[in-house]
Amino acid sequence: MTMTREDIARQREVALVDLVDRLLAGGVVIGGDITLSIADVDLVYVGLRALITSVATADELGLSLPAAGGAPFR
Amino acid sequence: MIWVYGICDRPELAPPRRRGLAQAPLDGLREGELLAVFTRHARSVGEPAPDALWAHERVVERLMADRAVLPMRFGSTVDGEDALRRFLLERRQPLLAALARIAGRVELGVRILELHASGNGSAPAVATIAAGAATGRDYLISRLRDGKRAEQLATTLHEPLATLAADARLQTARGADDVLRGAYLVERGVVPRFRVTVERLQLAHPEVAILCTGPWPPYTFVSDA
Repeated sequence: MTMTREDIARQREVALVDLVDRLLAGGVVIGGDITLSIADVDLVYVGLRALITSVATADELGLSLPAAGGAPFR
Repeated sequence: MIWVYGICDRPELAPPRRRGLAQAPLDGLREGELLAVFTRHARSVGEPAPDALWAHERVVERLMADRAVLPMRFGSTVDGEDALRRFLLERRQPLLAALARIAGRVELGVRILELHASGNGSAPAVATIAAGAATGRDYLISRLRDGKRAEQLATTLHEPLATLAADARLQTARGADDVLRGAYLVERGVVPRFRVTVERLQLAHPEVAILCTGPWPPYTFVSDA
């Protein structure tokens, strides 16, 4: 399967969304010492949204990112 | 302050000579059968920007190369080595159990998005409301019908993947177009077969886009550690 430039861009952005999902909502937690608040996590998604829009619009990528106010946690 | 990247087995194996966040060199703390890998920082680091996230991730992936590792959530810090040692002692049993469960396995992420004929993401539902083209009731009924269909499709796509996995977690959909968001814990040797299965499912279901990422450290499968 040959990948188009769009495919590669999409995979890169999907990887970034997956990375955020895992690092900020998964993993082992040391009790009570997490420095990130949910507000911080939302900010990450806002930043991500801006980043992706700068590459191509989310629509073109077929990606639907969570709304800035949405809860990113599982 | 100490920033922790992961808890590993094979404690006799020194941490790799690499740098973590803020270019701080990796250090290790051994407690019994466990090794915690960390960096020291005078002040707070790790604003959750993509660069910092990748820096944390790169350390965990490097650890994964030659040992089993329980990845820490981004932002896991303790005051000092005493607190870290206490953590390892207090959580010894669940940490060892989790290590045994994930050893030799990796996590694969699967995201399945519904493709619309019009080609524009979640816009149709929004446009329908905005234009007032349908009554609220019509809209809700159509969403309900879509939801049922998506649920069936999710099951059809999830089952062949779950068969290849030691464990699987389905996550709640984010956007209107999410058919499935899943994480699969897969033996390293099974990863190629998993990918082939994803490709086969994609060919059989051109109405969706199946995106597979990984191998990731098992972030989604260590919540009970």
